[in-house]
Amino acid sequence: MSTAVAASLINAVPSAHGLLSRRAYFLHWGVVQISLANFIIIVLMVVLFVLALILPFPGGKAVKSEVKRDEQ
Amino acid sequence: MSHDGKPARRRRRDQTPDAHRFPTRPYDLVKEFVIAVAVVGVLVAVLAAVFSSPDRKAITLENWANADPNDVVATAAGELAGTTTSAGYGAPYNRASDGQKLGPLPLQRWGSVRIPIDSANDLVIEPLSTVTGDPALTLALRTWHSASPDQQTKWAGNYSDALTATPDGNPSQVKPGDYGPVPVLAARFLTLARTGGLEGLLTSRHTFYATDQTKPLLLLADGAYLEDQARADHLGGDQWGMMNETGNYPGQPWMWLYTFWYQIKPFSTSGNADALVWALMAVLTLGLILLPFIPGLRSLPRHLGVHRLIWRNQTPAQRP
Amino acid sequence: MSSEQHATSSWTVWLRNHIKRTVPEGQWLPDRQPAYVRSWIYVFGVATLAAFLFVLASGLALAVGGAAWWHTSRVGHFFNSMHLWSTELFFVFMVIHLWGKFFMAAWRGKRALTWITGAVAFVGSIATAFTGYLSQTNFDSQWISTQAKDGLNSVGVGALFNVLNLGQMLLWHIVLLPLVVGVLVVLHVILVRRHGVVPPFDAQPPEPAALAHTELPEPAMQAPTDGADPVQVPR
Repeated sequence: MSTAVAASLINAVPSAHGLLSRRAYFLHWGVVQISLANFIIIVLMVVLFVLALILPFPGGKAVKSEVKRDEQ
Repeated sequence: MSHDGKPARRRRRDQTPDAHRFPTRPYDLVKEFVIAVAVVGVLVAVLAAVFSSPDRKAITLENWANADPNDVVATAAGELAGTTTSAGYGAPYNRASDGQKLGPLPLQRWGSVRIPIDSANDLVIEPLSTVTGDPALTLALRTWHSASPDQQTKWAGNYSDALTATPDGNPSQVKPGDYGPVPVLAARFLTLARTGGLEGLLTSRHTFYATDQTKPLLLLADGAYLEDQARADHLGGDQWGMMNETGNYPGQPWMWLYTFWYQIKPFSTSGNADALVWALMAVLTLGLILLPFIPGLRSLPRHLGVHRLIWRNQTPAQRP
Repeated sequence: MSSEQHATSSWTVWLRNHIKRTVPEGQWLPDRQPAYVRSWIYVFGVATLAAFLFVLASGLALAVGGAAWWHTSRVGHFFNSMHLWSTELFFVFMVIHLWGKFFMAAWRGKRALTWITGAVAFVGSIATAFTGYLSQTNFDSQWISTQAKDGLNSVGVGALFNVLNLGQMLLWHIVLLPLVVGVLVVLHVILVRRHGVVPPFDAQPPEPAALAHTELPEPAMQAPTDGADPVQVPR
């Protein structure tokens, strides 16, 4: 590939060396259009939120056994 | 029943007890913070290393001239005719139009002309005036300056229309007509853009240090090339573009509600869409900020019941 | 002047007492927290804070090389990538934190200001990110600025906040807006330390007798009163 063509490609293709630099994928539902990347982020957020609500949180010692409080 | 025996149907006073009166358990806040910093740090470094970040090079005016010369010529003619977006914009650049209104309120006009820009002179004629050693251009400029404003508009308007009538805006296919010096001015403007010096003429000719790109950006946005490039990447306003980024990168998902309104009526078909959406989002944002004071909305969380998941671990003594 | 008069007229003493009263004694950095705080949803505040620190740190690194450094340097580009991804994480964690706080109605118990500082910080963060996108000095900045100007001009503020002016937008991004967001975050955290984590709906603390095997606040260490009645007796 000649340098001239390569140069024009780098101009046209965003961050031509990156993993995410290819043409974007989009999802369509009626008036809604969303990029795959944004969709994944939003789905991940909802999953994270749900997991945060349902996963047990460690460290459940019975409060009644606490006798001393060692702050000032 | 509430604690004082009265029915708890309508709680007018917030009777949430002091958090410091509740039983406690040991918890190491500093350790939690350090762990959070470590985990987030690793995440950030890995994401940066694996996915990098987009850096699509800016379109220089020289790039534009080489990629779409016909668009440059058409834009120059449009600036001279007063038909481009910037020429007819209104405040803060000129008084060509009242701009957008919010109902009866002419908010855009109230902003007044604080960044005065004469599209024809500032963006086209002045840069061209710096060119020497080109007798045809010098003559064209003299002809332009000695004509009345009406004559100038007529010549440039005729030429703009003639360009539009050709198959793809090709100046060499324009039919003969009454265009005055405009064809020469537009053609020389393209030549000037191709030298790579046009940005400098528009930003730093009188100041040396260029920190304000208002003029070259208005010029670039008056053409079709910038928008064509953006729309190819789904960055257009009616493409939910506010949320998107070039390539496959995540963009700004948090802008979803702001850009949503532009996709639907009445905003999508209104000339005042920007003012309307801005006002609507200002109201909704105020609603978010002042949520604790909004009856009905502030009681929603109790009824939605998600809190039962969060606080399912209370000991019996703590449950109501 | 007697020492009593000195104490009442001293601005220094006033400020010192004011600071002391802002947060209950021992609550600036407590090593205990209410037992009802036991869910992963509670880590998203500190996660947001951690991400914010990396946004600031990567921003500092970018400032070292200047506005256009990242276009030509691989190291600069890596710091730019860290700046982008820490910002994405910052917003992800902040929004989940907001969802959690909404579903807890965390503004209860005189915590309205905590909610307000958080919400304004959210809006301020969006404005900060926006000026960041404008400061990229690449195609993104060209497109975003020429589009955004229409929204701001339509309501008459576009000349005061000229998105086409890199010199102005860059300085808002690295000086003015981070300061605003930083101050809001500090106020927000101080308010959380002051009021403590919001109790569950309808929760009541046990009466003093039932607390015999748990710790009680010392009389001298009363928290600033929420206006709540003394410890309730559950019926």
